[in-house]
Parts: sequence; C-alpha cells; structure tokens
Amino acid sequence: MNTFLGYAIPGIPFGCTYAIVAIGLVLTYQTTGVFNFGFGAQAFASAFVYTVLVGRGIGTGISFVIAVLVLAPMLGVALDRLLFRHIASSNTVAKIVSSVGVLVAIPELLSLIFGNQTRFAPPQLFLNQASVYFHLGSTPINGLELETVIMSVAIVGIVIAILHSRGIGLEMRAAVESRRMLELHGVPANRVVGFAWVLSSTMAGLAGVLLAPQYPTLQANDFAILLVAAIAAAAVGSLRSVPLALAGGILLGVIGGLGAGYFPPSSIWHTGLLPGIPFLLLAVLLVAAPRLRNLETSNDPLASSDPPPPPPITVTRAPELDRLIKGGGRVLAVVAVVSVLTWVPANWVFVLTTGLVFSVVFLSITLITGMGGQLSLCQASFAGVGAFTAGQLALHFGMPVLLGIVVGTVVAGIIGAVAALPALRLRGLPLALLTLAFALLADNVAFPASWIGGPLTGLNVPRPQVGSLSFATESTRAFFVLALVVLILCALVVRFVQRGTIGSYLAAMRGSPAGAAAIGVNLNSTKVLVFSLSACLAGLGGGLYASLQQTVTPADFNYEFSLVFVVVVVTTGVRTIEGAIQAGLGFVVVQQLLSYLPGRFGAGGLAIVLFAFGALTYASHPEGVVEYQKRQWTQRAERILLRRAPRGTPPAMSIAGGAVPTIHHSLQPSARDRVESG
Amino acid sequence: MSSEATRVSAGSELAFRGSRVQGATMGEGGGTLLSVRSVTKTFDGISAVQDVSVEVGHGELVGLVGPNGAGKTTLFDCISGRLRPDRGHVFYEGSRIDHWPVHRRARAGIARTFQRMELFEELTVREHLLVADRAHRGGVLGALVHRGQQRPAERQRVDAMVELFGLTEVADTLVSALPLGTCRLVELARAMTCEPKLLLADEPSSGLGERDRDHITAVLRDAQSHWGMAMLLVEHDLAMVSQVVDRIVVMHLGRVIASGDYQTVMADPEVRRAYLGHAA
Repeated sequence: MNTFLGYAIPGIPFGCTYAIVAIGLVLTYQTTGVFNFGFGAQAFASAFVYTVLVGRGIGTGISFVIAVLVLAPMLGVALDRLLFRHIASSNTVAKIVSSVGVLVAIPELLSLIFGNQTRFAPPQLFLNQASVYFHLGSTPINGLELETVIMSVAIVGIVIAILHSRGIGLEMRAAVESRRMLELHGVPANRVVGFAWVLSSTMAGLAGVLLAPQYPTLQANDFAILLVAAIAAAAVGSLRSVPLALAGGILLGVIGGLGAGYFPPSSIWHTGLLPGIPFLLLAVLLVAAPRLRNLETSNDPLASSDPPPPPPITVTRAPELDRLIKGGGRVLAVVAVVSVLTWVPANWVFVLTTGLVFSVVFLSITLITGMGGQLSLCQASFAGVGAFTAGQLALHFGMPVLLGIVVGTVVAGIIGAVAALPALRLRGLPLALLTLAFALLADNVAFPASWIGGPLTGLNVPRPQVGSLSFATESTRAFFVLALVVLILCALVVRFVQRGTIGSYLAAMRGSPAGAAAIGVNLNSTKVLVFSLSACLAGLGGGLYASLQQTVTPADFNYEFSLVFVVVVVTTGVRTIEGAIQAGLGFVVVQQLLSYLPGRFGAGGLAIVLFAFGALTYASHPEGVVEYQKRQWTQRAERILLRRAPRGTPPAMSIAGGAVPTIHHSLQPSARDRVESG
Repeated sequence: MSSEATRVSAGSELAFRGSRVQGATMGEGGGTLLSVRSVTKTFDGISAVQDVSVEVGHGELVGLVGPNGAGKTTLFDCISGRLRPDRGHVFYEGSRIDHWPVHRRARAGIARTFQRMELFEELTVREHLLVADRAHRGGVLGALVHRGQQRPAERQRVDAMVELFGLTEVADTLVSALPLGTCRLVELARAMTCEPKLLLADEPSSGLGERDRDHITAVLRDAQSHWGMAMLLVEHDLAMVSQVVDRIVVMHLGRVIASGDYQTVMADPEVRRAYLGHAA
C-alpha cells in the first residue's frame, strides 16, 4: 500500500496542472465555443517569462505577478479582442485552425524575441522543491507538490464559486447556450466572454509556472503534452463539467505516477505505453462517450443566421479573366520548369523540389478538409507511414525505392481507412481531437519503435534508380521532374474527385450530413474513402520526401508538422488545388528566403510565425488570406479590364422568385425546433 | 414581387395538374407499405415515443399531428433511420428495416423533408436535384469513378423536376440565397427526385406565411396525385392537414391517442383536451 501511495501521490501535482488547464478549456469552450489549443502555448509563455525574469535576478514574487497575473490575462484579453471575438460565429474548422495558429506561433515568437538557447532548471515558486514539508503515509511531500495542490484547489474553488454566482456566473452559463440570445436580453456578451478569457488564460499561465520546475529544461513540447493531457481530462467531463475535469486531470496524473513507478524503466510499457496514456484515454472517450460525439450539434437557436462561405474565386471570376489567368499561369509554370532545369542553382532546385513534395502532402489536406469538410490533425503521421514503409522495405528487402513508395502509399491508405472507422460518427472538433490523438500515438508509441521509425540516427532511404537513370547522381533536377510528374498526377486525381460525382456527395455532406443521408448517400463509405484517399496522398508525399532527403527520423513527421501543415494550407486556401500547390511552394520558399536573415531570425521559426499569423487572419477571411487577396485582385481586375461589376458577390435577394418569400432564410424556425425537441 | 411570385406559383400548380406520370401506379393496389409496430424510443430515461404503432398503405396520405413534444419527429427519425428504436420494429414493403442505415432506406424509397431544413448550402437548386438523382441510384464506388458530367437522361429528369416545382427561375441560384418558402420547395423537390414510395414530410409549412403555406399545400397535393406515393405528414397547421390527408393519427406525450378520419378524430374529447387543454 505504501509503495502504491508512493507512486500515486507524486502524480497528483501533475494531475492538478492538467486539471487547471482542463478547466480553462472547459470555461472558454463553454462560453465562446472556441476550443483553445493555444492554452498549451499560453502556459508555456508564462513559464518562459517567469524563467527569464527570475534568471535576470528579479524576485519570485514580482516575477510571478508579472508572468501569471499580468501577462497571462493580457494575453487572454488580446486573443479575445483581436482574434476569437471575431470568429465566434465561424465554422468549427476556422475556430480550430485559429487556435492551433496560436499554439504554433507563441513558442516560436518567444524564441525569436528571447533567443532559442536551452533554458535549464526552470525556477520554482514560493515553497522549496528540495525540502520535505511533511509525510503522507511514508511518502514525502515537497514544497512544489504542496503548493501545486494548494493553488489548484484554490483556483478550482474560485471558478466553481464564480460559475454559481448570480451575476457573472449566471451570464456565463447563459452564454454557453447562446451568446447571441444573451445579447438580445441586453447583456453585453462580449464582457462575459472577455471575463472567461481572462480567467482561463490566467489559469493556463498558473499551470505553466507550476509545471515548469517538474522538468529539467523548459521546452514548448512538454507544454503540448500538458495541453493534450488537459484535453483528455476535459473530455472526462465531456468538455462541460468542471468537477469532472478536475477529477480527470488528477486521475491522469495518478495513472502516470503509477505507471512510472510500476513499469520497469526500460520496458516497452514504460517507453511505449506510458507517454501514450492521455492520448489513448482521449481516443477512447471520443469514440465511446455519446456526449462527446454530439458536441457538434449546435444548441444555439440563432446559429442559422450565419452566412455561408463564398464560393472560391476561381469559380466566380469572369470567363475572360479566367482564361487570361489560366493562360498566364501556364506560361509562368512552363518558364519556371524550364528555368529549374537549366539555370537555377542546385540548392534552390532542392528547395523547389521539396516544395513540390510538400504540395503532394498538402493536397491530402485539400481533399479531406477543403472538400470533405473534416479537419484532420494527423496528416504528417500518414506521411511518416509512407516514408518509413519505403525506407524499411529498401533497407530490409532491397526493394527499389519507387516501388517502396507505392507500397507506402497503399499502406498509408489502408491505415487511413482503418483510422476512419472509429471516426465515422465524429465530425468537427471531436474528429480533430481524435486525429490529434492518433498523431500523438504515432509519435510516442509507433514511430519510436526501430522496426518502424528506424534507428536513432535516422532511416536511410535511397534515391530512385530507373535503368541507367539515377536520381542520386544527376543532381536534384531529375528528382524535380519526378516530383513534378507525381504532383501533376495527384492534382489530376484530386480534381477528378472534386468535379466528379463523389465531389458533389462531399459538397452535400459539408452542407448537411442528415440531408445527404436522406437522399441515399452512404456517409460512412464516403468518409472512409476520403480518409483513405487523403492518407494515400500524404503517404505518397512522405515517401517522396524521404527519398529526397535520403535520411528521415520520426521527428520529421512529428504531430507539430501536422498542425503546421493544416495552418499553412488553410492560410493559403484549402478549397482549391492551386491553394495546396501555392502552400507547398510558399512554405519552403519563404523558409529559404528567411534563412538568409541574420541570427535567430534565420532559424526557421519566423516562417512558422508568419504562417501562424496568416492563420489568425482567418478571423476576417475564413476562405484563407491568399484566397481573399486573390478575390480582391480579381474583382479589381474585373472592374478595370472588363468595366463591369464583379461577379464574386452573391446574387441579390430580389431575383430569387419562387414561392412568395415572406420570411428570410436566416430566420429559420429553429426556435420552434427547440420547443419541439425540448 | 408578389405578382411575379403568384405567376410562378400558379405555373407550378399548372405543371402538375392533370398530368400523371407513368409508373405512378406504384401507389395503386392497396396493401400495407409501412408498418411501425410497438416502437419505443427513450432519451435519458424520458420516452419520446412509447409503444407506437402506425400503418401506411400504398399511396395513402396520413397526417401525424399532436402538440409540441408529442414525439412526431422522433417517430420520423425511427422510420427514416436516423434513430434506432429501443423496442419494436419498422416494416417496409414486408421487410424488417430496423437495422438498415439511412441511405439504404432512402434508396428503398423512403424520402423525407426536415423541419429544420437540411439543404446543401454550397449547391444550387439544380445541383441539389442532380446529386439526389445520382445518390439514390448509385453507390459510392461508382461515384468515385464517375466524372460528374451530366448524362442526357439525368439532365432530362432534373429539368423536368425543376419545372414541375416551378423552380426554373432560381434553378442556378445557390440555395443559401433563397427565401425560406423556396427552400422548402427545393427540399420537397429533392425528396421527390429520389422517386419515393413513401414521403415523410416534417412540417413543410413551418415558418411560412399564409400564402406560402397555401402554395406548398397545393404543391404537396399535386405532387401526390402526380406520382401517387404514400405520405406521412407531420404538420401543426390543421387546415393544411385536413386539405391533404386521407386520415390522421394523433400523438400526445409519445403515445398514439387517436386515429381515423379527420372529422371523427378532431371531435374526440381526448384529442381536444391534448390540443386545447380542455374538452370543450
């Protein structure tokens, strides 16, 4: 029993930090509908600033006040004012991508400002971590553990008291139902929501400062794990219940402590299973708990007053301009290809080839997110499957790498189809969370295994050799052609899907799954098919990437890449094929250009920050900022060249004849639905 | 606006009137098409539908009425497959279809419209009908290898449908730009494109003004006499129900409390109590 307690009790402080972030997630999700992935980064920001301040000799008290009580709530206010307030009525994809943008941007931004050197031994708070204050049974309780638990209990008590208060608490609970209804009752909902942001951001900051001393170094990655554990804890309470989220957090902490104690340190359980427990729990809860599945069912009686997204500009622009742009685009493409094959320096050929390979991976996001309307946060993992399959087949069986890439594509497709099975009943946020859990499972459990991810030094993947044509010796130009051909084929496949009957099924499913099923569309098979096809594309891109780089490690297909990929593609334009290609080329070209900058700005972080900020513009342009700019320029060009009104605007109401419109679409009788169903 | 709309609505009624499609005989010949037997569905311990049995014959028009919360939409969901009943069975054309998914029931000829409309906001009216025409005929794998170009037969069927429902002027407009009344027509046209033997119409007049309601009533009646399908109509507007249906079933608090022809049932004191709160 003493051994058991000895393992379990040290897990509790970890659990408390998970719980604090989990409750913050629940608070903001409930009041704003935004599931803020950014809390992981916000926790990191407070811990980071606290560490820097203490490191500069400022006292712990003042540093704590600055990092947790000033910076954290200010960050919350800023995010609310500048970003999340504007997307309150956007679709789920917009909300998730924006908050993922925050998660990606903040750590990179901090290392741009303060430098990216490793920071050792994050400082403790007020009580001494080294001294034992008392024993629980025979388990010593040190200062850090004690203060973590005390602060957690205090903050949870405060939150529960606030939620049950008659003033702001009642308003917050009302905002859960419908922010717009609250406004109609004369309550300034923005104030209520702003308060929720301040509270939850402060909690994230506190959790960050409390958690940091538990690790030997301060790394953003540890805080991403904090985030996912917190998501799992929040899922225990179905993203609704504060007490259950607390219980879930502590449970996870205790399980972690017990696992670390009982599993021998070198066993597969310790290295493989233990890090995956929060993700496994999250995945199981998502699949099994009906309340989580139904998260996407909007309860807001006024939800239907949101306008639909505009159609892509490529569809609505004038035919003359369309011909001009397409013709010009083709000429440019030919010039670019000829240039690459003749005079462009080798390092740039390599960069552009990488861009083409990324474009293949990004097409998988166009397929699943742009066309399927589903957000997948594990596309980099599918790319990893393709890469490692090709590498292992070449290593162990001497299989030609091109054949290996094809096998990898198929394997990724099969895994994609299998992964789609538990996801069948999910859409929107629960699906995004499940795919994130997949990605983290792949990172922590599957890819570290040497028979999958290869040795620690990396898995060598050869360049292709076709007859006497070697893609290794002829510099990278031959590989450029190969990548180009593959990309064109993939683009054709995606276009075929988009324009074909299956594309119209997907459009129907995006609009209304219930309506699509009611006309005979098999939602399940369509979903499995799209997942599988999309995984194929990612796997193919991953295989090509491996062969281009010649060495790959699991770190190349880390879950963060999945997040960054989604952010990049969504920023550029997720609904068109050209969007994916522009994203692929833009991603590498911007990084390469920035690498010419001096010092820390050249390290690659700046590119990610730029794209993440691009994702934040989602607030005002849900079509993607590049797509938005294209629309602006197209309309300007149409005005100037064709001297007529742009066609990108939706048709006026008056031409919609039909059966005497007395009630506008926006006032759907959903209020009556509520009465009927309630 | 109103004169144009009147013209459109008159046109659409004319398009139906006096015509009767070949093959519309699917409704003729009597016999049971749908049989709901002792279906019970509970949510969190509250029974939304309790031991309900309803039969609909081929080509028969049945009204399903009852106050809010009576379980009408839940019953629809059990028939169309969105929900699985906890107890009881649903038979359709003699087969037990409890375990059939929604799309299979749709292809077998059970079409429905929704109280809270389920339209595809990125598609035009014509595309709605086209995708319905394809979905109820072919599977997903067939759709994957199909290029998406309209076949002449498809175009003909869709054009005919657009014209019958008086949607010609808005055929290439996105539904998100259409007014509610037109959207209800589009949903109905989409359902009819699936060539149903049984149409489940869930409050087709919900949210409409008087004129729209009269129009959709006329369209429903004409569509039924045109195609001869059976229909289960949930509707709060009793005037509309009385104009369309052959008989009605009254539900209250999850149970069937009366059924029979409209006049008799409406005279039933229990029905009056459920609706009006008193027997008078």
